[in-house]
Amino acid sequence: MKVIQWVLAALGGSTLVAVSFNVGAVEYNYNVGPNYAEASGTACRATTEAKEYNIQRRAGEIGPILGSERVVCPINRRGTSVYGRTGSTVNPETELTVNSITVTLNDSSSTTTGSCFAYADVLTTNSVVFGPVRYACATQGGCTSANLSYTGNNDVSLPFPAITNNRTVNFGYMCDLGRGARVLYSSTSITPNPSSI
Amino acid sequence: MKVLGHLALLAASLFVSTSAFATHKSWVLQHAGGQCVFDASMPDFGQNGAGDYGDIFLWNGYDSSRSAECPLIAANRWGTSGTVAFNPNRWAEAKSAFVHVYEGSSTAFTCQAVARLRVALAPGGALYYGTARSVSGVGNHTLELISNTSWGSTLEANEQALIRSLDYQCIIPPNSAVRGYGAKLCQNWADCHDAGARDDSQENSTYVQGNGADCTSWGLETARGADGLTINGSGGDNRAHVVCPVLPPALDSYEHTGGFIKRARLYIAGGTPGAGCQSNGSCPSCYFDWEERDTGLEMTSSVFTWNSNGYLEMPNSPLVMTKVPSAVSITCLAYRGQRIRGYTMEMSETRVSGGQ
Repeated sequence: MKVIQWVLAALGGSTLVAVSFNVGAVEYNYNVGPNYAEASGTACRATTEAKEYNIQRRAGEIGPILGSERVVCPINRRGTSVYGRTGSTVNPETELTVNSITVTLNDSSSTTTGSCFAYADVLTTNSVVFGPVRYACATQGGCTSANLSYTGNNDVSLPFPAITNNRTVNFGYMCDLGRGARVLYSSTSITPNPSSI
Repeated sequence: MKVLGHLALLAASLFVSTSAFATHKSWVLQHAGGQCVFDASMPDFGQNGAGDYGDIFLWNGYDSSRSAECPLIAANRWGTSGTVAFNPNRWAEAKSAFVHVYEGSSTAFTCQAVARLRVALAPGGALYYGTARSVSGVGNHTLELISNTSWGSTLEANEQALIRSLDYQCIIPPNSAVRGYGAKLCQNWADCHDAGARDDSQENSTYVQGNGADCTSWGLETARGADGLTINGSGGDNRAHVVCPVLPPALDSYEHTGGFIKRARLYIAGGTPGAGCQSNGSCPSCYFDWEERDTGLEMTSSVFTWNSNGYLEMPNSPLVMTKVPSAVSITCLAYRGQRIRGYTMEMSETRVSGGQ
């Protein structure tokens, strides 16, 4: 940059000034979202540290070793606002608007199944809310009842429960995994706070 | 005038080039090592007999090497509506992929990136591998999983596909640990063309929210669920060690120095926290815990104080981390019956100076 500044200073031409101004005016606002939170199934954990004994992980998947097991999968959104933004809304650190949660399951057993549901801790009432259960099946987005004979990979779309005042500090999804069922990954779309700049 | 014209064109082209290659080329996603998990856990064999988890790092206290996964939490990647507009790129194009480790034995410490990518439309799909990289020698090291802008192997060949998941699979030697890890995921251009000068100015900030169910523990049994992490075991002094890894917002192109934290709140319920808990000793004892990446020094903040609105808060705000941290967490010693619901804070973000 020093070389360029020296050349500009030596020449001092209006054309040069105009060029540098135009290029320098390029702006990057970093406000285009939504906030996509993508995570491997390995980010899920057992309901207790002791139950980790019955969990097997490999890159890109988590499932039980024996029998069935529930895993808890917190969704991490990192920043709640777009880049470099604070304030401008009432509770920017705790408000949550989930647009969609998609979890991809693998079911290799024709006698068991895998299912998932969304959850949230309601900050203002100190209570919890749950979304409806979706089972792995041949239908994209999942089924509302179990289909034990299904095998393969497919997505389940999890409706997110209503939260009083839309405020939480603990949300995500849980999956009940039969032997042979695995969580592969999840993708969550979240509206930043505030929703528009 | 002809010479001046040529010089003008030269200067203009230099300016365009330099400006286009300025900073802010990638979204830097940092994680504490405690976000990693063992492929097969042995909760009774952790560091100092404390358990596999409940630490800012992932320690292998066992007497043989163990395999672990460090999931990359890909969030906070933004597009821009500026004069150059683009949508968020959710691909695996990256400038760097780093694992900060402590090697405590003579066995090689090896990590490899493994991704599921949306190369085909169908759910699930194949795994794509980067080249495994190793480091040896007792002490702190940084394993770089990208060499000459390349993951290597099948991951490099497919890196422009959408990330479905990305794990760093590490073989952790005995008495060794993953201290922290992360990636610089390219914002808009392949390989980021990251030739700009470093800039650590902390000009911006944003709010961060983390989940109580993401915390881990040792010492007493805990239950993880929709309401967070609850201490429900008993024994000893009826207190459990709880560690909540902090996932910072995506940063600008580098791991920066001089980061700050303000307005930190840790939401607690259950047990007997409340007015007067600091004087009668029933408050959970919680504080920020972080390690300086280059010195290995572990740093702590003041102990949080109780706020009658139902949370602990950090006194003496802001907290400034003068060196680049390898990991940041909230660490608590909390009583049976108490529940960690989650946390919020305001964290710094570095300069936005344009570029792709």
